[in-house]
Order: sequence, then structure tokens, then C-alpha cells
Amino acid sequence: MKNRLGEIRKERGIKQDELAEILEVSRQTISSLENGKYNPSILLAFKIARYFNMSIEEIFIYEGEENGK
Amino acid sequence: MENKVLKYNKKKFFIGLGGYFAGSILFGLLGGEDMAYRLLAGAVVAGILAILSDLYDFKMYPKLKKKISIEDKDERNQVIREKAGYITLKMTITALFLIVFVGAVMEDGLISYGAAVLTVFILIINWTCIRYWQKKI
Repeated sequence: MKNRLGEIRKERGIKQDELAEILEVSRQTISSLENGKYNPSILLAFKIARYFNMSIEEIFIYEGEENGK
Repeated sequence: MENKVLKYNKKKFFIGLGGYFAGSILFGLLGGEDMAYRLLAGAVVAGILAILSDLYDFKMYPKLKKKISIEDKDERNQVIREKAGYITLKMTITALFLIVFVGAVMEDGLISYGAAVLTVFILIINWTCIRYWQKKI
């Protein structure tokens, strides 16, 4: 699954540390999400979307069948 | 702050280890000979030092406790722990089967039966946990 998290975060001028603190996850989780190494739970995806005031689909792009990471 | 969590974990590990050795050495110097009490003395000193270290760290860095809790509950960390736990279980069971086999070849009943009992115990715990979580989620 691709995502635009890094792009959106940079647009808003937020550091990874700051976003991690707001979402109550580790900085490594934000980094892994941005690199596409880790797919978030639906709960975290909602938290991210809500924080950026966007829909989940605007941030995360589902590309069909893939192995869960 | 993240580095502080890492530093905290490292510090706690070394304080625990150091405290354990200090406690067991101190017990020996005071004339104690019983091995079980020596282990207990080490564990008690390690525990006391770990508590004191926590009290100091949480007072010095008030946000540290929350950061540790976030790291612990972090969903990626949980996935990592689950994957690591799964592999660890498989490796442990394999190693125990090998020990049972080697014990049987060497005709050492104690090792063989000990490893077999431990294997069964671990499998029962694993199955019980699986059954519990199957009902829960």
C-alpha cells in the first residue's frame, strides 16, 4: 500500500517527532509508514486522516492484494 | 526524548546486571554460602537499584514515563514483538526436540525427560493462550 504521509507531513511543516507525539506512536513507526515498510492499523489510519483533516483514501492508496507487513 | 528511552532501557539493563552481581558478591562476602539465597540476594539488590533508578529518572524527566508507555503500546512495536515471539517459540520447540533426541541417544533420561516435560509445558501454555485469544477476539 502506498501513502502520501511524508508528502502531506512536509507540506504542513511538521517533524516526524512531532507527528509521532501527536499520534502517540514512536517516531520509527512514522518513518516506516512513510517508507512504505509498514501498513497502519485501521485505527491509526483514522487517527492520521483525522489529524490532517482528510479522508483515509486521500492519504493511503490501496493497490490490491499484498502481503501484510 | 526518544534517545532518552533508549538510554533508559540500556541503563536499566546495566543497573539490573550490576545490581545482581553486586548483591550476590556482597552475600558471599558476608559469609553466605547457599546458592539459592545468593541468587535471591542478587535479585533483591537488582530490584532495589532498578526501583531507585526509576524514581530518579521519572523525577528528572517527567515526560519519560509517557514516552516509555507510548513505545510499549506502539502498534509497530507490538507487531515486531509478535513476529519475534512466534519465531522464538518455533526455535525453542525445535531446540527442545533436539535435546530430547540427543538425551535419548546418550541414554540420559534426566535430560530427555526434562526437555520433554518442558516442551509439553510450553505447548500447553501456547495452546491455552491461542484458545483464550480465539474466544476474546
